[in-house]
Amino acid sequence: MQELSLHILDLIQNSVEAGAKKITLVIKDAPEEDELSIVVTDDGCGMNAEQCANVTSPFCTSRQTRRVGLGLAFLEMAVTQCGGKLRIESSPGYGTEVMAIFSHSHPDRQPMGDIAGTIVSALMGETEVTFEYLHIYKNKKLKISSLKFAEFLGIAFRFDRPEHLSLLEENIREQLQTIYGGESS
Amino acid sequence: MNKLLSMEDLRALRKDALGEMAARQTCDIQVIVGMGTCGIAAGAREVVTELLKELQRRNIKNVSVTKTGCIGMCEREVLLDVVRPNEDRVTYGRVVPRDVSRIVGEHIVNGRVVEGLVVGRIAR
Repeated sequence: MQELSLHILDLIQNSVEAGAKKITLVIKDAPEEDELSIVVTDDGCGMNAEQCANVTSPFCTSRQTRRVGLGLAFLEMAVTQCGGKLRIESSPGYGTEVMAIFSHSHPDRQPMGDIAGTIVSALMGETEVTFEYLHIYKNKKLKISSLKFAEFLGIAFRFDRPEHLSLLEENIREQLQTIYGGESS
Repeated sequence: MNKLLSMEDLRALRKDALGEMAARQTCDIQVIVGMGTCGIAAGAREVVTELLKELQRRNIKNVSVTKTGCIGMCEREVLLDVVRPNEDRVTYGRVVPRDVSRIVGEHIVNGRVVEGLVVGRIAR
């Protein structure tokens, strides 16, 4: 995985597989504090203390198809290689929060990549999930909620309709462009 | 899709959407993309982005898109399944964005399986 947004996609997919009904993504892009943080919170099935402690090991996985699980191992690598921090908190039955903090200016910090494409891919087909996304850049904020977006469109928004997903993607792209004003993360 | 510039655009869009929903049948074609860590690392997101663009370009409405996790064929990701009503489920493997227009044009629109990319079939 060569972009932070791909890790985000992986985290959201983990939440979906944990049966989450509500997923929140917060990205704080703060070059002035030399910090870039990503937080994904869900209300899925959660993990017990032992699973939580081992979850970044490549040989820890809950799936049945293979005995390795590389998602969080990759994220840990991406965090460690630029002197960042990874914190995973979870309680069974309540949900999980994954927080990754990167050093913004570190040469080995992966670039953010395509967030709009990531969110749309992550939500594709998830008709039952509510998603909230907050992006903070310097003193500017972008907030997108899947519920509000559906309300705004006034139609029965469905995450399995290509035309609705394309609208959402375009909307996120435009709003990101607005807060960045042509700069890139 | 054009940019939405006014409330009028939005109302027009809403009208279109309501019309479509009324017209839409439940016998949609389903497209399923593998989105486990393996799929993501192999480029599933880029395939999805291209798929959405292609469906928009051709103005195809009777398709529903969804995803699945790892199904154990990691070495053949990106996996993309097409399920047409009353036909076998066809799994395409090692799909890259430039394959998408062929799969959409041949299989989804015309019902002809793109044999060269098939890695599996499940009889209905």
